[in-house]
Amino acid sequence: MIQKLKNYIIPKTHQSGFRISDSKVGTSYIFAAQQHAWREASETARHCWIVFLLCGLIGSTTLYFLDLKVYGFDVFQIVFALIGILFLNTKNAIEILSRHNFSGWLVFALVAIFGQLSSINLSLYKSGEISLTAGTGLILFSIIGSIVNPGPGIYIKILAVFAVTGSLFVTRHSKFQVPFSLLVLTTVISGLIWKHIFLSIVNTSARSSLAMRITKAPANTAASQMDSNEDLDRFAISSRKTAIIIVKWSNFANVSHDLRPSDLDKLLKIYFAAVDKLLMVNIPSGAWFADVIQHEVHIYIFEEPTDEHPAVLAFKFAKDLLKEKNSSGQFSSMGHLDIGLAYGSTTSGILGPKAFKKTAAIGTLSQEAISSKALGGSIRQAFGGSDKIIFDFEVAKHLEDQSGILSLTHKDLNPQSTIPEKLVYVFDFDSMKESKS
Amino acid sequence: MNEKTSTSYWELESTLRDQFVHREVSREINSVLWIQIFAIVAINSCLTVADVILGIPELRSINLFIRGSTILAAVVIFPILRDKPLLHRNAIFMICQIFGIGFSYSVHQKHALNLPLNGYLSEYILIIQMMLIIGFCPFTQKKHLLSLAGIYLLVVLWAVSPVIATHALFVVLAGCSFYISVTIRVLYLNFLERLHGIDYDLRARMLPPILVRNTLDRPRGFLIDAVKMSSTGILCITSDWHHFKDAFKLHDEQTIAKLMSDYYDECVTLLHEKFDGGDCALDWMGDDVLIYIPYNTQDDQETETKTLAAVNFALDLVQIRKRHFAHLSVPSGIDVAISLGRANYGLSGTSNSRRMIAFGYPVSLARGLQHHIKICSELTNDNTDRIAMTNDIRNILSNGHDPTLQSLNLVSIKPDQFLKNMQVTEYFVHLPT
Repeated sequence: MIQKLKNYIIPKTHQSGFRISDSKVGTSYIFAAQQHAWREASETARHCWIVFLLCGLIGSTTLYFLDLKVYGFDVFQIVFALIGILFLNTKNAIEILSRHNFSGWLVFALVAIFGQLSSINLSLYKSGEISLTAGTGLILFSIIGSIVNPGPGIYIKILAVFAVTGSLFVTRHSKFQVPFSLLVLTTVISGLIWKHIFLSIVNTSARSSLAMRITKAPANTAASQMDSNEDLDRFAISSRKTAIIIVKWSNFANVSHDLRPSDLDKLLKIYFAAVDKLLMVNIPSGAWFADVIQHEVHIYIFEEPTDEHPAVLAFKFAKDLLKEKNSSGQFSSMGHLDIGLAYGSTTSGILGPKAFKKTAAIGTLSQEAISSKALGGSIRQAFGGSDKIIFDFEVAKHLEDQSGILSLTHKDLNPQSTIPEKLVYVFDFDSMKESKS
Repeated sequence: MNEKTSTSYWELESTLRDQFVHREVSREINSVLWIQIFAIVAINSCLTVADVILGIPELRSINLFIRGSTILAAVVIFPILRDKPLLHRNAIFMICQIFGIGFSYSVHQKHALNLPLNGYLSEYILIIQMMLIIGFCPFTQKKHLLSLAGIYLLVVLWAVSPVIATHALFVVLAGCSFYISVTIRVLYLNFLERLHGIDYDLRARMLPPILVRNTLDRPRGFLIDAVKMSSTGILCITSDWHHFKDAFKLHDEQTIAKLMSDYYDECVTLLHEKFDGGDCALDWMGDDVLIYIPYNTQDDQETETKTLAAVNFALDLVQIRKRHFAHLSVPSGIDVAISLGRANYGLSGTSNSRRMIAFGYPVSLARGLQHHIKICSELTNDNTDRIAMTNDIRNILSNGHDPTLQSLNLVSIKPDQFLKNMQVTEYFVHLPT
């Protein structure tokens, strides 16, 4: 029930960053959140582990000077090693597999584990209490256990460690082996439960944090500032080169009037999901922000070195949206789509009231995109056709290799127009169909 | 709108957020405590069975320990089962905790002196487990936790004093275990606080304040129906400024952004005051604002009250804009349009912008009205502030009980084709006299 509610109130798109979990782009942002979570978890693990290590050293020294029997200390050492293994797994695999970079503390930790377990092993072996094989096995499993990939594998390996530990006790005083092994087992289980609870909360927290940031800023900014406590300051208001896309349904008033609320809700969900999907696919860097006012979608695409030119990306997205709309029967009640594009420098960044801050573009550029989009009806009336992408020269000059783009003057649309010289560029979905055929 | 009111609204928001986070965190930390208690009971049960089966008399210290911790678990569970307020439960818990720890430790210590090996073992288990319990006991305030830990450490030191050399290691162990459990506890609480804080913020972004507040005390299931798209009465207010973009030619972006944020902050505060503690949704893009106020179409009294409040809000909106932007020396006015009718209202939007949106006749009508008066203003180059409304709203105003609204100077306007298509034959604009 709670999960259902969570999915509804904080939909998948917010929980994981994006709707399409299997998309490479989507998973890369989820991965960014997980990386952040691991970093936070490993900080804790490192901290706890170092305290245990210090504790072990102090304990060893105390026992040495007091010349006490080592039984109590053995228990501590084994539990210490197991807890170290449990916690260490939150980090190591990521470091080894992703960064190929051993940090100093990791090397230190591994040497420390090896040293401590070797000393126990040696002392127990000398006293004839364990076999050499069992002791070596314990060491090997501990080291392997500490560097395995976090995930289900760790649980199997921990059980293997427990089995070896159990065999260690078999050679000792038989009276105590069962309760003693039970204690170790419950310690391991308790550690696993803790690890699970702790990692779950750290992971959920990181994902929620990413989701929250995505409602304010483009995904790439949100993901890149996961480690920062500052509130997305990189996206403060300033002038940026931006492509603006405005998508409008020509007959939305009729659609919203005619459809039942549940059908309208369904149609809008599919439509907005399609917008999200196409943005993810076309702009893999995540340098975009899609806002909605009523049914009108306003998309801002920002310059990013790894991406194509924003105007080109805007056109690709618009074309794909028309394709998606016309290829899917789900949008049959939608009427025509008019998409206005504009490109240039505009003031953009995060602004708004305290609780509702979001990325916005304020300036004349939005007005240009709105004006372009508004021409859709007149063009259809004058020349026919269906869904249209409309833009000005600032966009058109980056689309020289695109076919099917027509240029019109305002006079072509309206002989009384006072701005006859300004060219309007139009891409009609029908021309795409013709070129295909 | 004065600064004091504005601050108090955000203070209220902050207080509600803190309450929500505190309650959720307390619930989560309690669930962890339950896991811990059940784990102890399970461990102890296994050990008892093992003792009995194996017939190990030397392990009776563990049995005593079991008794102690079982009593502890029982006294802890008992007050939790009683449906007392959380703080009350915590107070009882604290006493029980001290009693349980003291009892089990003293019993254990008595036998541990005679049984060195098992003494070490059970002492170790006792210390670690008690530390874990303390570390995750349901005190969200650190000072209570630290007081409790201080008492416990005193007990430990007192108990081990006869054989301080032998027990030096365990004192170190106890200290380290305590340190770690407190560290993890603090981190765990921080993560929980962050998580539930984000949960609240996300809800506050997506849902009307009244819905967010209702979920603080009511079952979460309440939200599922509340955010589903449904047909309801909607009062729609839209606003747009004249020459907004000219402000950027004369002033830097940061100044405008700051002014806009302050302007919107005040709008949100005012909405909260006018509409039943936030029974409304606000959406904005640039200088364009859309506000949806749901109402019961069957209740004439509610319709009238909310309509009067909406017109009052529109008048205040004009004043707020003037106050924030008058000193910019940019010739500008604001066009506000109000309409009402049945619309589809629910949670919708893209991944970046899911929020409550209304779709339908009143929204299209309000935007049409606003568009028309804007064109009229541009044609006449008139920067007067205008509030446009449909005939049904004017009728409510003339029958309404708000004397402040009787002085509105309403002028009848002929509609354009778009509005005629929406069956509007005339509409009214308030012009300052």
